[in-house]
Amino acid sequence: MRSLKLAGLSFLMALLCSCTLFAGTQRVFSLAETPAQTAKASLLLHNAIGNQIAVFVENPATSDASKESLQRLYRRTVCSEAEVNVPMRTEECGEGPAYRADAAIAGFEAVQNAQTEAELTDAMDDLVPLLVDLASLLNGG
Amino acid sequence: MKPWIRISLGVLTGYWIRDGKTEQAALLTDALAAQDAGRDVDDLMEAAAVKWEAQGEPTLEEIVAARKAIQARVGG
Repeated sequence: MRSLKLAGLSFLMALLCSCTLFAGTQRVFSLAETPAQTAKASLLLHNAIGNQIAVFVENPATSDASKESLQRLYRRTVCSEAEVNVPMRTEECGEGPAYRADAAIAGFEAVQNAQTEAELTDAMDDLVPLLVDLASLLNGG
Repeated sequence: MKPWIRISLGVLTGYWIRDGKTEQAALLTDALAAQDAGRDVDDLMEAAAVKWEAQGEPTLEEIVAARKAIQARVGG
């Protein structure tokens, strides 16, 4: 039974991930010309997948096992490790990977929009730690 | 997925439910729904592409606001 559950969930995620090959998704990423825009395109895809997860969760026909797995999966994308481990509602999370990506995008845009050397220095000072943090996150840190 | 395959899987689901194998039936139903989900996600991305072309790139505020709404719906 456990292997059947895993097979069903793997199939589910594979189908969701396959959407990166679809025309609409490709079109969004083709519009991105800067690193910040590419990151925004990724966040748009994250929102689209999150929306579909919400549709599944809201559907009374979805099995409880799949519902809980999808909720846990989505939670890890918006909640930090600290937030995941406390009794905090997913709705209240604001420090997870998606939010760290927001901060990096804001940092990139601040660099792009800097008008003076002082603004550029400040923007870079804010951006570098975010990039280090993201690199660490990607490496499983 | 070809219609005859989907219909066959639907029939199989029905047999499983009849035989009390509700967990297997539920997982298969979820997997079939996931296929539609992949297309639905791409429809959302297509809409985002249309909006981007018409109005320019989305702002971070818009993206985060949409995410907050999704977080509330997903729950947990």
